[in-house]
Amino acid sequence: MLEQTISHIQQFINLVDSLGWVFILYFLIVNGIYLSLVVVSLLFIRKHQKYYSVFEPEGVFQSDLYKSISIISPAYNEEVNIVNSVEALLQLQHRGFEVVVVNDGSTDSTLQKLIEHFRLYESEIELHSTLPHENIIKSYRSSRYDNLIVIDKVNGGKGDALNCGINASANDLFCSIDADSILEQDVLKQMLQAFVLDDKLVAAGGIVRVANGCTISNYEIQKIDIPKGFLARIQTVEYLRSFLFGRIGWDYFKSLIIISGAFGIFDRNAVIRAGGYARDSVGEDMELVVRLHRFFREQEEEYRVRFLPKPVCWTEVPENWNDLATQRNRWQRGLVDSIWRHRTMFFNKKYGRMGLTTIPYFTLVELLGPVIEMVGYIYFIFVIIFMGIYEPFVLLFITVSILLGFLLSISSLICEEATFRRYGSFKNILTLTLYASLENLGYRQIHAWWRFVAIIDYIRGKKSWGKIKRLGFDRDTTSVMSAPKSLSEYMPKIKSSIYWAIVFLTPPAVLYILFSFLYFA
Amino acid sequence: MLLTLVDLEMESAMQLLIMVTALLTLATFLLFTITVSMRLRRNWQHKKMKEYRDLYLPLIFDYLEGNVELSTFQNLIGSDELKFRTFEDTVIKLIKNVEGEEAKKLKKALMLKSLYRFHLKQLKSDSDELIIDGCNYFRYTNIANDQVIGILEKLLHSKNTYLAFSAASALMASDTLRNRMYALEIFAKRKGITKMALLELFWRFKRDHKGQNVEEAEFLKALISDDNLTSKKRTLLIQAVSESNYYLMIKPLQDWLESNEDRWKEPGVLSALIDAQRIFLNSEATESIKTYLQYPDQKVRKVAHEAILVLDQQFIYKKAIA
Repeated sequence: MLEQTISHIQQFINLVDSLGWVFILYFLIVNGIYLSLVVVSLLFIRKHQKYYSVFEPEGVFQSDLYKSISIISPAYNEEVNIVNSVEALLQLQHRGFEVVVVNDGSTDSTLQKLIEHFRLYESEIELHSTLPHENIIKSYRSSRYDNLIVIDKVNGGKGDALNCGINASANDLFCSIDADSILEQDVLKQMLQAFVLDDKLVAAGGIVRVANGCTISNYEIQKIDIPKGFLARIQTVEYLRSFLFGRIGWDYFKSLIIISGAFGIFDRNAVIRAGGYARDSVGEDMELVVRLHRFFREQEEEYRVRFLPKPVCWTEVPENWNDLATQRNRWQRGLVDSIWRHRTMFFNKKYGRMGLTTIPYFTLVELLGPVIEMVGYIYFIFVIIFMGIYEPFVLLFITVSILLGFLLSISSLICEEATFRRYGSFKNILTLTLYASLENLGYRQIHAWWRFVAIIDYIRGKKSWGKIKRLGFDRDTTSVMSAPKSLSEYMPKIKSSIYWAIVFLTPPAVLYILFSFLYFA
Repeated sequence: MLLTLVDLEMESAMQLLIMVTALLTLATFLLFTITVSMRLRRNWQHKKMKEYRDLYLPLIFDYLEGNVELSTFQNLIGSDELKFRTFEDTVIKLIKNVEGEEAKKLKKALMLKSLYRFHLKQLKSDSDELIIDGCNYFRYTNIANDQVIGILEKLLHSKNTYLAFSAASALMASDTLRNRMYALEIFAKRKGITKMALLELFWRFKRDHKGQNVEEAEFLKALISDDNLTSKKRTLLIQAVSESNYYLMIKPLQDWLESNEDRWKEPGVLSALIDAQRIFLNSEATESIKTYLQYPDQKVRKVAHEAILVLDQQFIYKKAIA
């Protein structure tokens, strides 16, 4: 049996030519890494959960000696969510925190809504550090909440707004949060546990989950449910996979380089020493974390960056193809930008495991992955047409890659079931399983295409964020559904229908060809 | 010939891929089955736990009012783990929200034979996670058993900081001051612990024992002036003592401020000592603080100025009343 398998492998290797071998090898390495991360995460997450239940700090949070925290929320054209989002922040269960909202030159009514709802009045604020940012136009305090500061500044991008917020805050820690996100009530307490346990901690990120299907009232999540829309459901699985085994795995290897911009807590002094946020990056969140790693390794100081899977930030995800493409394009450009700025770390032993494994992984797998994937598809089509390799071989290979993707997505559902079980009902688990399989049929390929385009956009010098339409947490879905639509609004529907047609027609076609080959050839 | 060879290789490659496909399908199906069975098991457990909770909660309230005996719980729970875990969770949630006699009665209820034996067994296990679980249980009881205290004291020296902290937290639940003092001393002198973990433990040291006595003050005095304590920890303990209004420490705090020993001249420690005089409104220390108004360290000067401002006002106020 073993000899037979070895013989099969030998013959398989002989079959593909040198270029094909590169793709196969890449495929095996990448999926090998993914599977290792899955195994590590499954083993690590329970242990992690158990240890974190030990501390349950009570005393430190009642003491003025504990590290103080500011929540910084940059807002650009967030009129739909801003009031709910800031109200939710102000309701958090924690002692003595402040909220700094930075209106980054919004052109809509974001500032007006803040002024009216929070009864803001003009008030000079003191800047405690000198990170660079665009000019402040006015600053405000609230007559309703003592701990709310609103800064109105000239538009300069998210990194610029965050720098401004850091300068305005005098606390030991700061939490960056997107204005379209909602934190759970006890999230700060959970996050700050990490800082209680580790003096060397400079940054920590929590899990981001999809809020689209949840019921939100009184500025907090009342009922957790999965979204109704196809794209949002796919993203629910995607987020679970990305956070529950991706980041947990990297955290285990002490090599985490992404803390979501939607939700992260940082040591203010460490960030200032490292130079604050990059103002001209579209991936300022990742860039900052990579820079912190680089800075502290160059200074030869001990430091830690952690991911905590329990504290949750709920965020609104795009529900149409164009918005999602825009978002993913920006994320990929942010990744390329971060890696390119810190390319000196690539395979540089001075930066330890960051330089020798993490940065090379993110370069070769996450950055170049879409390019290799796209070239791979073209290659396979080419060899089928011109080199006469049988279609069933290619189809079987694609089936294996899809099944592997499915296996990885299902693993993240297991992680979720073994630990947090936030998506209550049994029906939700079945639905998410279905979407874990659908994600690999079509969506993954489209996603690879978006990321491929993003790399070209980056090379061509595209720096814009792109516009994403916010629907808001309080949306009335029935009125949205029944509103009259223009022809252009049907385009996403048409794209979606094409997608579904491909999804439903591909498996029978694959099966037909396979059966033809196996039994009728 | 060549064509035949390619055909043969293709067939082998196909067989290999079919095997991998079958394997992956099986693995995926297995993972799916595990996910579903975990959910079903969890749902069943939740249902049972809710049933048990609904049964225990009214009985626990009756017990607090003196209408139900402890033996009733022992008979209801027996040695069923799910039952006593539910009982334990319910009682611990209540303990967190009550004080005084009720808290004492609830702590007594936690000492049911089956629960106690189960957690004692955990304390003796080889798994750090199980031991931590055991420590968490004893944290909510009034540990009086010498055997348990002995085990917990040994665990304070564990290499695993989490474990040592759990053991120290459990010992803080003890009514015996000696146990609490020992836990705080060992943990404070331990290397590699964070200031915040020490602060948390200090809070637990004081939490349920609001009164102050001379023995406690003597212990804190010895601990803070111990040579093995780092300056950072010394600073933190001085700040914690001041913040919790530990009035029995006013005298030693002033003595340390006026001492010429190097350990009290470190800027962090010195700032904490000066600030302590401000917090306790100790106007007797005013003259000593004034000597630090021109101190080389900026932080010390700032704290001294702030303290003098408050203490001078205090002096004017006292004078006005007199």
